[in-house]
Amino acid sequence: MELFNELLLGFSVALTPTNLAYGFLGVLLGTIIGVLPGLGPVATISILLPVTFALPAPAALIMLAGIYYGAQYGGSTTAILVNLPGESSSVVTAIDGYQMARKGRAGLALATAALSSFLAGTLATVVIAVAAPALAEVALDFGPADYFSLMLFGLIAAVILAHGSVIKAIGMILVGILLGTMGIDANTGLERYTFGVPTFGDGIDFAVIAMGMFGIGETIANLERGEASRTFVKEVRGLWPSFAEIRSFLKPALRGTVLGGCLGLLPGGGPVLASFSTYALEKKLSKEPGRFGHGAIEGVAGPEAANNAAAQTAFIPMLTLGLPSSAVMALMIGALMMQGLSPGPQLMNQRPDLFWGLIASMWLGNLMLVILNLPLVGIWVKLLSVPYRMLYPAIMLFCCIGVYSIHNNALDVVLAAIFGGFGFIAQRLRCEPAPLLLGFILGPMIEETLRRALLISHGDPTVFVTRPISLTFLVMAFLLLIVLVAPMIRMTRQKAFEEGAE
Amino acid sequence: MNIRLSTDFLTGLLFCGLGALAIIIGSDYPVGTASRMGAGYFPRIISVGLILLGGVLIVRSFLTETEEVGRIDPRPLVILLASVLAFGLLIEDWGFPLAGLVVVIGASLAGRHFRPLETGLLAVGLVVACTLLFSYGLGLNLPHTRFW
Repeated sequence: MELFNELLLGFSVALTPTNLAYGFLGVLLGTIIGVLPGLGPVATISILLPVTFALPAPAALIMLAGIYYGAQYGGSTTAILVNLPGESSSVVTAIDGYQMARKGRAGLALATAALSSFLAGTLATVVIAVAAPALAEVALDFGPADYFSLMLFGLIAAVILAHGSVIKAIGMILVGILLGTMGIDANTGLERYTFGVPTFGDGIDFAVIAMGMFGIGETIANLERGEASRTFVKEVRGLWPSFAEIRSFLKPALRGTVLGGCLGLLPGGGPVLASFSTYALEKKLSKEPGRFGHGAIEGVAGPEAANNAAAQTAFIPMLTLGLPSSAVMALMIGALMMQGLSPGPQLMNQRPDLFWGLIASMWLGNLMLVILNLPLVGIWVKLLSVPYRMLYPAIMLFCCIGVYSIHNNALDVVLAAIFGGFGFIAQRLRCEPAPLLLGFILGPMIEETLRRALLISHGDPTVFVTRPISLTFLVMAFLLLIVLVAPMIRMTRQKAFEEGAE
Repeated sequence: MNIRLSTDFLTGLLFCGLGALAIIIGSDYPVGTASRMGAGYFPRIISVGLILLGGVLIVRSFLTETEEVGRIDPRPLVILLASVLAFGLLIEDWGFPLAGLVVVIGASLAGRHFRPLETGLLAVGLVVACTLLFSYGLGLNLPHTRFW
């Protein structure tokens, strides 16, 4: 009953008034930014990173995690009522959710989304509680060579699951790794790419890059595209589903949870891919696929469960291996580092309060979100009437404050502007910004483990294939690469995305 | 601005340029050996990889038909970046309230419809709210504006 005791510890941490308050603040903020199109969890978490520095570690992590999964809930509200995804992961929900709302079943659609997400969140929390300690146990035996191969595998998996061109995604990772080498080299004390600027000695802060590319860059892209007019369903009735209705969405929600939970584990997988795949799966399994796109309840329940499950299982590799599977998880690792904690398998033993507190807070947060999103849906409808032309100057101001307050350094603001421009250009060149951030976070770790592994083996590169754990990851990475270059499978990959987007 | 070049070609140029730049700047970083890597070893590998990828993209853009960049409206890009830069240049000497007003009003100019009254009210409201929230509420150290 060790698990029981540990969960008890977790709840005792998560239920303290401070942590409850920060958890609530997190899911509330998450819902708000989820509802508002154009402001995502990545930008919000980067803006709030400097603020969390002053908080105790559990409170900081609980709040930031709340923002992330809260945004998955909020995003679906916008998708259903406005036919505009508040979050990229709710793109699919908009297809059938909005049709349901137009047919007067907005209440049912919202309830389906929220309850499916809650179901998925609850199950995913259990999965984390069971799987994470086991994985951390295994990871304690990892040597530098194993970590190197694991990260290589992670980066390759991230590339496969990214949209668009594979070569561009790898290129963006390499650019990120190069940016990560800026600063004083930890092993030799030599300054690399600092251009003689003392501030660059510690390298660029990744919150600067995240806010520049996601906050500023995306805003430029949104403005450049022009604002789409919004017509939204204001009337919401019948929030509580009947028993028959619950039965009709229970199975798709469970399937979505399983698929989403598995995809969330993979680097680069995450909520977006999870919701697309589940939609495609539900459409295949359905006896009348013609209903999809015209308000099928399965098309809301499945993807909503999937994106929430994926958002939560993404924490497993982050917490146990110190390996970020997405930009948000990279930010979480940043938050841990700012607290002086090193993410990895030892975290669970060093700070069990933090680890189990975070897990317990996820379930509590999901409960709060159901309450926030169902009875209070009227407030979010009002929030939606704020036009984008008033919203984005506020986003810019928050970004500026966030970047400046990392080190109280005006140079960071200038850098963020540069990355904003770069982010926009990259977007127009069809290069995604997320792989760059992953490369930036993993780069220094890859270099360090590569150096240590080769130092221990006296420069013998076979160390990567003679250690069984390392060899396993390399073989898996190699198999993934084969999948990547096999044109037939690449075609199906594209087809899967297109089918989902239809 | 309408750019008729392919995205692949331009991305290739970008990757090659960044890789070459990293090699040139880092040309005097000691490389060392595999067992005792110098500071230049790892960046060198990555830069070479980046140049190779860029080369593949450039070659591919000539062999197959790829997507063009298309029409770009430079207005939001220039104005938004200018207002963020202005914030960075103003904040230390002129304080947060002024820099904040500049960034909000500047950013609003980037949109299609500029409404002076609404923007002014928005800017003042946001700056007051942020000062209360961030400076007093969360204890961030934002510089004050001094009027004397």
